Amino acid sequence: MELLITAAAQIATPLTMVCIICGTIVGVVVGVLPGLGSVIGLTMALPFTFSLPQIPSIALMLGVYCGSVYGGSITAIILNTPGTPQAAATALEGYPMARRGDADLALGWVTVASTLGGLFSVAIFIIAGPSLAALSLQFTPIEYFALGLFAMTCIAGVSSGQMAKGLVSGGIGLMLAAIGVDPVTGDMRYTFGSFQLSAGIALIPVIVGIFAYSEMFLRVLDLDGDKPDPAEMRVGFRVPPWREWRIRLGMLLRGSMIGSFVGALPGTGAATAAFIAYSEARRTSKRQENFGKGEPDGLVACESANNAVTGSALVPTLALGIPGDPVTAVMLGALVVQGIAPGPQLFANHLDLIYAIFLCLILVNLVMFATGALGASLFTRILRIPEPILIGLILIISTVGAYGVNGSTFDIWVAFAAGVGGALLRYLSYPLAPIVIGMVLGPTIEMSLRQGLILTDGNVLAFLERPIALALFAVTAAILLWPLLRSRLRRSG
Amino acid sequence: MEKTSRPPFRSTIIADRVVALCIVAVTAVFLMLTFGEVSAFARNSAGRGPYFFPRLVLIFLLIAESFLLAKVFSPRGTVQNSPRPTWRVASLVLATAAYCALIQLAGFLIASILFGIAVPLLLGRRTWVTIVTVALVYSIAVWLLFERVFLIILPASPFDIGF
Amino acid sequence: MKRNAIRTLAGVASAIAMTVAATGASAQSNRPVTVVVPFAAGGGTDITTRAMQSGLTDALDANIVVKNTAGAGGTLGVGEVARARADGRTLGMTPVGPLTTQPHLRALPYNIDSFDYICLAYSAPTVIAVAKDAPFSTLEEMVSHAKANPGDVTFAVQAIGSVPHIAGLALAEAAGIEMTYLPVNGDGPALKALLDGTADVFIPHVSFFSSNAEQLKSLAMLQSERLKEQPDLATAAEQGYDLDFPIWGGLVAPKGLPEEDVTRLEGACEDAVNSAPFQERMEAVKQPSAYMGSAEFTAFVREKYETNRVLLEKAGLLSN
Repeated sequence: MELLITAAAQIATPLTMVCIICGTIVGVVVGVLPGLGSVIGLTMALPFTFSLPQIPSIALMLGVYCGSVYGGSITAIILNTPGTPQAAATALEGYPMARRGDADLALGWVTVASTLGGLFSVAIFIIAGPSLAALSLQFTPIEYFALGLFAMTCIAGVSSGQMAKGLVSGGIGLMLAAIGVDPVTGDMRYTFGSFQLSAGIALIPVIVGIFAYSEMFLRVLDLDGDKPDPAEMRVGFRVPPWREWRIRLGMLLRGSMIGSFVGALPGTGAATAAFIAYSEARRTSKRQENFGKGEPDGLVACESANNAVTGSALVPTLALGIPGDPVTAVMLGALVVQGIAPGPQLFANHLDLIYAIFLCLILVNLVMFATGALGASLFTRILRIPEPILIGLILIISTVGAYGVNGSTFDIWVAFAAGVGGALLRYLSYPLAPIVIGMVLGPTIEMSLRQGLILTDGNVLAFLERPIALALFAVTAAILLWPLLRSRLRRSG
Repeated sequence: MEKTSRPPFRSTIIADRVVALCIVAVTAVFLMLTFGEVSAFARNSAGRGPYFFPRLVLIFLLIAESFLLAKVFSPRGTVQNSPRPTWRVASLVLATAAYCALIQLAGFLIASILFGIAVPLLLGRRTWVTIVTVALVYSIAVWLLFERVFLIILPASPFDIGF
Repeated sequence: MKRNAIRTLAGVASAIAMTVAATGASAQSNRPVTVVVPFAAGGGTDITTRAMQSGLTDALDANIVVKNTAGAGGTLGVGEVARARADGRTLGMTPVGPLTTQPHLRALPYNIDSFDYICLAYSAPTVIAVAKDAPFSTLEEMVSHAKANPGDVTFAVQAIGSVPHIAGLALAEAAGIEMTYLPVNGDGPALKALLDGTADVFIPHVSFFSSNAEQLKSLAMLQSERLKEQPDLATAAEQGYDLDFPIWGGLVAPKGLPEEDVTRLEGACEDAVNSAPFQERMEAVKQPSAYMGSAEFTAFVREKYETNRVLLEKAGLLSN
């Protein structure tokens, strides 16, 4: 308790407060811009952390980190263009809701769910930090492989009615991720002699292409179609009433738990968590038939999940020195420069620092809520811009986003190609989210499978000897077989 | 999207079938490539070779594609509610391609201003003053934001004028 | 009313345009210098480069922009530097791997003659590290265990063809042992493999080792002499193995820079490396300091290029 008060005194300085507020706002802005994401936001903050004291620099980075995860959802809702990969699942429900004129409501759901999910994981961080770190060490390559396969079942959840096309999309995603240097042997795969391709196809330009570009291309078909008059689009910010919330508390809790769990496993991340939470929500929801048409269940689940990743992803980063993704890797790099050595002793002997991070995270989530609520009227107003003009503006900012990730003009062409291909597939009713799922999970599944085979001397059956992996395989099989079984039961009954 | 369901256009059904066949063809070619030459190191190293995983994925893909083919060649097809394709889409795609090329040739700022003006014109809007103003202000604002605030250096024109 | 608004907008736009043109013109002489880092943000090369940023800014009187172009073992970013215009506005912070090992492994659009070498900015030894609770504490104990149980020791490799990989191969050859090679994606995952028991040993940079010293122990430092910053780390040489595998990196420019530009950049690099803030940050990440001027660095790169070629050839990794 005493330590908590010391920590509170440490962060109650004007400098720290400024860092929290600026960091969060900058984070939301880079999250909103398609293409730019958490990593770019944090690298922008890096030079400042060099000259700031320890606590303010941590506050700045946490602000950028949490803000950017939330910011990506705003663009997903307003433009059907996830600003960051983490928000790809959000577009599935958020955009239909905005399209029918309720953008303000969608932002309300998302902002509240994000804040609560974020706060949930903050609580997990402080209460269960060390045990969560121990849990993450139970996951060896074999468990990762099992988890990766389990996460692939999300494809079923996001491609209802078009299962064959969804599976093909997922396969395309896996193959896109396989292009480039083989991580195990260094061989070139499918590069066709191109040096640029040897680095592989980056995720962000593909996301910009299949979501932003293709959406803009296809919007042209709709220009003269019947849709709500731009002037009738509601602007602002509307928090859904309590009676709407009450029935979705379960979704919120489950999403937060999925996010916190997945976040604690290095190498998985917020995009995976959001997709798992979304398809879980869809599987268990009482309002299943509304999914894909703007059902708040889906929004609440994936937003609480991807924001719940933020707090728990810090656990392996700080308690073990193992950053789970490029985002936490940048943060860890900066923390080490600040003289913080990660490891179990951090949670044992440096509780003042842990408490300071804990309090910063709480404040960041609150500032995030305020930023979202205040910024909503600005963001929703975008919908009132006449479409012919808006389409050009969005194509410009998306192109910069695709370029900005690696500063490479090659990525602009990747985005363009993905845009044309994405538009064609979307026009032919292919679900596109599975491409993202495949690209996100492909490298993990492949690496863990091949590592696992090296560790077991090529014996696949040995994969089943590990209890956690076996449980995950069983759940995966159950999810895949359940629809078949159910229809069989119905027919016979 | 509670529009009344109507049968898809003939051209759409044909496109659906052509695209499905193309995907199958590419899958087959990629699968063939997995039997190609690998490096001496890959042959000697532990574990499976570089094409082990892609081969698994591609075989899985072929299975999924057989379902896909069955569906798209069924009389009802698989496409729902797609609006009639128009030439406007093609022109926007071409304009975007030109924009991507122009960024490399003339720099980001010049290309964006031109593209920002061109798109509304292509899409049938003729309020010139608004269009030009918006394109100018927006492109310059984006340029300033990235180049000066985010320090992401955007492609510059060959004229050596700083943008 | 509407017309007025548009006129105001047009006014604002032209004002902004003029400001941009003005700043563009005035910044002619000292437009930003981009330093390409061929690895992701947050890694050792990136942190070192960013720590030099303010020193270089002062010395060159120009904004320094650090740009991460990661991919393909660092060769993508180094290739970008090789292709850039030789006007001194694009530099690369190029580590050992993409410069002296990757060119032996595959065809690349650059070679060691594609650059003017400006300075070596950092160099630090690698360490053979095992988990704190590992059954061996010296190199000899590990070697004898590996000899008794061939393939039982699992060695986590952060990247194919990287210095740690070559160092591991050299150790295996020198000691005559057989290890299982487990590929992982970098230092973090390698540490995880050690902690969760999937791997037994890996070879990190000494600064990565030091910041995770609580969970790791060092069997041997791969350098001929003990480090004065950390005198308690025993070297491999002391234990009878002549292994010397530092990880180093420095500033390079695309070939064809005028002589006076090289000298100017060399001076700026020296100032930046010797500046107090840089030294402090390097001390915080426990990285020993190092510096070489242009001529010395050029000779050094060529020498390492040859020695690494021989090592890769012995390991059967050479592509041609």
